[in-house]
Order: sequence, then structure tokens, then C-alpha cells
Amino acid sequence: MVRDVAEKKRWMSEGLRKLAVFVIVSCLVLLTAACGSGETSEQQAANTETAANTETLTLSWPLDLGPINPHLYAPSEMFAQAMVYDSLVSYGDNGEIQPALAKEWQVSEDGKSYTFTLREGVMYSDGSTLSAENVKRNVEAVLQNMDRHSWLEAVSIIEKVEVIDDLTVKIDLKETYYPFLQELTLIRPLRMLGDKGFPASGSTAEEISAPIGTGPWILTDHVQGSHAEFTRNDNYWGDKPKIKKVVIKFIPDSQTRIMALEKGEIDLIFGSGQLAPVEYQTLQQKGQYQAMISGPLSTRVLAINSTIAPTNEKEVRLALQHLMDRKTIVEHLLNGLEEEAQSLFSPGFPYSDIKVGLYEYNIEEAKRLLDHAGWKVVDGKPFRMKGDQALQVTIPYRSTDVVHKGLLEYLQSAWREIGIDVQLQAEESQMYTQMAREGEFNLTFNDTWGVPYDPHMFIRTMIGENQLGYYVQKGTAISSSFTANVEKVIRTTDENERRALYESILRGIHEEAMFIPISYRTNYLVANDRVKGLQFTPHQYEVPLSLYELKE
Amino acid sequence: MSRFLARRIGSMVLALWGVSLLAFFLIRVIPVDPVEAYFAINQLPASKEAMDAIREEQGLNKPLLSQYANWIWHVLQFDFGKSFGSKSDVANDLIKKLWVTLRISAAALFFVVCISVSIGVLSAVKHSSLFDRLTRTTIFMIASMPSFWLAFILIYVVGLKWGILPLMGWGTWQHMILPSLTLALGLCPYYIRLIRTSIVEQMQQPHVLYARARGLKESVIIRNYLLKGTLPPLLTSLAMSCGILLGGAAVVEVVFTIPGVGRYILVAMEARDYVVLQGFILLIGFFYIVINFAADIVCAMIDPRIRLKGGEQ
Repeated sequence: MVRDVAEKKRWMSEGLRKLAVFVIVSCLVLLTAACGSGETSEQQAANTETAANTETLTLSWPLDLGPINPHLYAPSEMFAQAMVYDSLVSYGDNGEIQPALAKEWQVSEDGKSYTFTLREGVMYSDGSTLSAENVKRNVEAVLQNMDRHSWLEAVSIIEKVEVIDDLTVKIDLKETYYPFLQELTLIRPLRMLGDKGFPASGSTAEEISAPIGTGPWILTDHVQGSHAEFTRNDNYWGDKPKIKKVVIKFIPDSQTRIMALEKGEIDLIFGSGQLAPVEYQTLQQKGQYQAMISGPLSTRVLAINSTIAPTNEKEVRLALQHLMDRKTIVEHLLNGLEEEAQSLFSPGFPYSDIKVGLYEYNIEEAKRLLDHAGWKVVDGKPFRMKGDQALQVTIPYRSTDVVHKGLLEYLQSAWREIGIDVQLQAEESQMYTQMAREGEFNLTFNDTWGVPYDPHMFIRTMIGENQLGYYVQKGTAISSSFTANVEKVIRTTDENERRALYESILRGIHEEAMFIPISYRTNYLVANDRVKGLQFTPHQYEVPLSLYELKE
Repeated sequence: MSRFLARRIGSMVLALWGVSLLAFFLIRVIPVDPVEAYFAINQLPASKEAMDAIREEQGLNKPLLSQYANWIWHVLQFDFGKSFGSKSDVANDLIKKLWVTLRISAAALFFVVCISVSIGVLSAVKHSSLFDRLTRTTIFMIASMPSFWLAFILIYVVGLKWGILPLMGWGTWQHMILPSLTLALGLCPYYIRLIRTSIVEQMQQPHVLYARARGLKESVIIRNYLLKGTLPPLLTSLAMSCGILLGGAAVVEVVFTIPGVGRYILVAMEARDYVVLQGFILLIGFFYIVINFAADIVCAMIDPRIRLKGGEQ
């Protein structure tokens, strides 16, 4: 008994000692943490102060900016790549190609050879000068990593790059490809990196040694997962940014972003990817902030699979078109932040002025079409039947997309009244993409891409196997002529022929009821009163920070 | 003792090997591989041929066993490989980010002990009082709140309305308080109940009664008798909570914008970044096994019976 007590006592004092050790260790860790961060505390203080600084604009972004390699994709963020690097030509209003690093260019008669004359005296952020040799090096670096870029015709079609003189460079194509200049304006992968930015291996396929560009901004600080700082490039060849510094804080959570704006830790939240429609509206209604919506940037579209039942029947596809109540969706589900779509591509895009018509919301017509197709209302059955088959459509969507979820749930209940069983499938992002690539859907969202991709790129993916758009046209009666037209339209150099081909393609899409356009997607921003000159550009993936100003 | 140590180290190596197998093969069971994920994240319409070419370049089309052997061979040299997306060194990234998460977790454990011991003891000593009843209601409320919600309330009240602590971010000791408090508050209800129950139970024990009869001060009874008795279950539970803290950190890291391992893994998971994911699982597995091992050794040092038993087996 006495030994037991002694044993117990020893165990207890051992336990107490352990607890004491634990508390001391925790304190030490806390202390180390506090001391260890001494050097960054200054920096951090500077960050929280930024919102009050008259020369620095602070904004949030949901993700880290990545390595900002101009020749690669994620995790490099597109808007950051566009801040640092320039392309040879840029995309202007209504798709007009404008000079950028190249001040002029000539296209050979056969459309296979492009000669660019570079702007004189363009400087990289390290002080080196842009030259034809350097442009060649960049294009060749992209060609070396062809596997990653083969999706982009402008890259896979390049035969060779030649330096004519110090400021002239010639690119020869294997075949004619009319959107070549348009694709050169893309944020990636054909933008120019300074010679010192190339790693020792010479290949940018893995890494770059530093983000050295000719763009309006220079990356001056980047703490992974925390923030990045850009300083104005005073040697910029174009209109210089009006703000001296931009700090981008990486805030993954939208509620935290909103509170950071309220506290003044950030000045600006840019982009529909950062705010849900309802969050935008709440901030707008507070009246303390500047809230702005852009013009149409791309189109919110439901794609219909024509290769599997029941949407392989044209009449079913037509009926679904007549069942799209755009007015209700835009007003009540998109909070009026988007416009009702009147066409597959929003106005102001190349060839988007070709009018092919739109199916009006008309329940009676939809019912008539379904009846005619043999999908009848049967007593005692909740859904329309053909033989022993119920009229069922499957719609997978990304489970994290709250806007799509709300919209589809509305369609599910509205279409149920017509006798259509809508099966919604919330999927993890990658699983969703796989289902779309394999055609495992009746309907699914397939938004257009915006400039400079629309319309040619969106249309072109419709003829590539394993693409979502492929299943949309493959089962229709016009599939083979459609495919031939798409192949022809990107090769022709005759503007009139191209227009005629686009008209036939767009008419085919309409008549076969391949897509249901819903609304034109917009971008929006919310900023505090310090920021002036707020505006948007036609590019969905660019943040035009160079155009913004700060109040004195 | 040396025999015991040898046995334990042997089983530790075996367990780590098991973890490496699970890490490697389980990830490959998930549909969608990193190449497909890469194009999907970038919304690039890549063809099957283009994807196969990258798979070949990355060695993803080799037999699984040879991929595994290759990985293990590099891991043994402490080379965890490079991330498929960012191309950065995985071992380096993981350690840097794990250090951030560990600091938050340690601070959270510290808060758990401070808050639960003080409130637990008080409500046990004054059991059935108004304080005790209030505590009970409050901890039920806190226990039923999801951690992200608790985080928002803290950010809103402490960060935004009172403005005494930063809302988010990472860098100074002030940045650690709200996230670790969020993690701690999630665990506190459990510990407060544990301590309270254990003390109330002990109060009925004869040795406490005798201590009172001997005229010992109440504070001495609490410190030397009641608190000591709750230590064994408390320490065991705290050790178990390390896992909950590391796992729960992901949500807190997202809400408070902390560059910790949780956020890093969420991004890697979406990108199906095999190299990062298997490195992470292996590292965490290693971490647990080592802690367990250390705990066993300490126990064996304290209690010769464990040591002997281990040796005899």
C-alpha cells in the first residue's frame, strides 16, 4: 500500500514536471516565434501601413502569384505576368491588333511569314535593351517546351524565327493561320523575358532566374504565401503607371478580404473571382465604397451534349433552349450584375456582329416540342416518359462554384414542372473536368473564354477530341460539315470568305441548338475612396493597375 | 534497454516504410493525374498526345514499382523532388511551411492548457455554482461552433471592431494570437470537461478527505492532490490533440491567410501534385512516429515494467 502511494506520488510529480516542461517549451516557442519574426515585423508593419501611404496601392488576390515565369502557366498568375512582361503586339478595342514591343509588322502574301520591327530603346528592368536576338531566344525557349504549349496553334505552327537585323525579327509559319497575331497578344506563353532572366541551362521550361521584363511594373518583393510588391518601371516604353507601388496581399478567404477592406488593410478587391455577386452587392449597398461592374467579358453558357440520350434528339435540345428563363436568372440569381445574353459571343468581339437569332423563353413551345418528340406526360408519373424511359438530364458542376450551384438548382425546380428530371452532380474540380472531357454530361457550363480567345479558340476546341465542345457538335446532323468549316476558317486569308464561314458556323450552332447562352459575364471591383480612375479593360485576366491613381 | 531500443527503432522503420507505401499508392488511386490537373487548372484544351508526352517526360508512365523505388531512393538522400506545378524544392517548402504550422499549434496547445486548467479547476471547485453552470453553457456553445465561424467572430470583434490585433497575415507574434486562439477554443471545451470531471471525482476520494481532515489549505489540496491526479489523462489527451491541431490548421490558415502547410497541401491536392502530397504524408507520418517513439522511450525510462516487458516480448 505504502509502495503504491509512493509510486503514485512519483508518477504525479513526474506528470507535473512534464506539464511544467510543456508550458516552458510552449513559452519558448512563442518567444522564438516573436523574436524570429523581428526582422519581418518591420516589413509587416510597413504592409499594414500601406493602405494609409499615398504612394502605395494595396489589393488582395486569392492565390500566391507563383514564380511569374512568362513562358509557363499555373501557379504563375496571369495578371502578374501581364504586369511584368510585354508581348510583340497587343489587343485593342474590337479586336484590333495594336503595336506593343513591335512598332510595326508585315505579313507576307501567303500569310505564312511575319516580319516585326521592334520599338527602339525598350529597356528591361535590369537595364538591358530589347533586341531581335532576345526575341528569338524567347520564342525558341517556348518552342523547346512544345509539349506544354501544343494546345496553342500560334506556337505549334511556328516553323522558325530569324533575326534580320538588330531590331527586325521574322517568324515563319508552317501553314497560314489568321489568328496568329491575336494569339501573340496572349498573356502567356509568348511574352519577352530579359536575357538575365534565363537560367544557366538556357531553358525556361523549369524555372527562370529572375522575373525581368519590359512591362510597366517591376517585382521588388515577394514573400511566398503572404504578399508581393511591385514598383513602377520608370523606364517603361508606354504610358507609365501613375502609382509608385502596388502591394498584393494573398488572401484566400472572401470574408477575410471584405474585413481587410473594411479595416483599410487593402484598398481594392478586383474581379468576380474574389467576390460572389451577393458579397459585391452587400458592399455596394453600404455606400462607403466605390463599386463598379465591367462591360461583357465572356458568355455564361450551358453546353448540350448531342452524343448521348436524351439530348441527342434535336427536339429535346430545342425544348431546353425555350425553357431558359434568362430574365429571372439575371435578376434574381445573378443579382443584376450581368446582362441577358443575346448571342453565343458577347458584342464587341470579332465576328460577334453576325446575327443568327436566339430562342425566346416559351414554355408552351417547349412542351409542344417534347410532345412531338414522343416525351409525353403520363398520369401518375412525375416526369415525361417515352416508353419506359423517363426524361432525365444529368448536369455535373464544380461543387465550389456557388453561382452555378444556385443557378442549376433553380433550373432543376423550374424544369421539374415541365416534366424533366434534372440530376445535379456536384463534383470536385478535377473530377468535374475529367467528366467534361469524357462527355459524361447532358448539360454543363462551358463559358466562353473572352478576348483574345473568342471566337476562334472556343470554336476550334469543338473539333478536338476529348474536349467538352466536341461532344456538343459530334452528335448533330451537321457534324462533318461543321468540322470542315472550322478547319477552313482558321486557315483562310480572305476576310470575306472568313466572314461567310463564321456565319455558317454560328448558324449551325444555333440551328442545332448546341449551346444555351445565359448571360454575359462581367468583372467587378470594390475600392475605397483613396483610389481614383477605376476602370476595366476588355481582358478578363488583366488588372489595369497602370491606369489607377491614388488621391493625394 | 538497448534491446528494447533496437526493437522500437526496428518497428519505427517498418512503420515509416508502411507510410511511404500508403503515401505513394493511395495518391495514385485518386482519379485524375497531375498532368490532367495541370491543364484543367489552366483551362487549356490539351490533346491526349500532348498529355502523354508530358507524362513520359515526368516519368509518370513508367511502372509504378519503378517510380516508387526511384522516389524512395531519392527520399533516402533527403531529396523529396520538385513540385510538378511550381518546380520548387518540396523538402524545402514543406519544412518552411510546417514550421509555421507547428508554431501556431504549439501556441494553441499553450492556450488550451492555460484556459482549460484554470476554468476546469474553478468550475470543479465551485461545482453547481452559477459560474459552473455558465461555463457549461458557454463551452457547449463554443464546442458546437465550426472553427471557421469562430475565426470570423474573432477577426470581426478583436481585429476589426476593437482593432487591437491584426486581422490576418503572418510575421509578428501578434499575428499568432487569433489563429492559435481559434484552434485552442475548439479544443478547450473538451479539456475543461475532462479536468472538471476528473477533479470532482477525486474530491470524493478518501485521500482528499483525509487531507482536509488534516487541516491542509484548500489551495494546497488543489495543487498537490486534485491537479496532480488529472495529469495522466490530461497529458495523454494533449498528445493525441497534436494531430487534431495539425489537421485543423488548414481551415484556420485559409481564414487568417497564414502561409502554413495546410494551405500548401490544399493547393497541392487540387493540382494532384503527387510529389508534394507524398512528401507531406511521409513527413507527417515521420513526425507522428518519432513523437510516439519519444513518448515510449520516456515512459520506459520512468517505468521499468514497460522496458522489461518490451525486452521479454
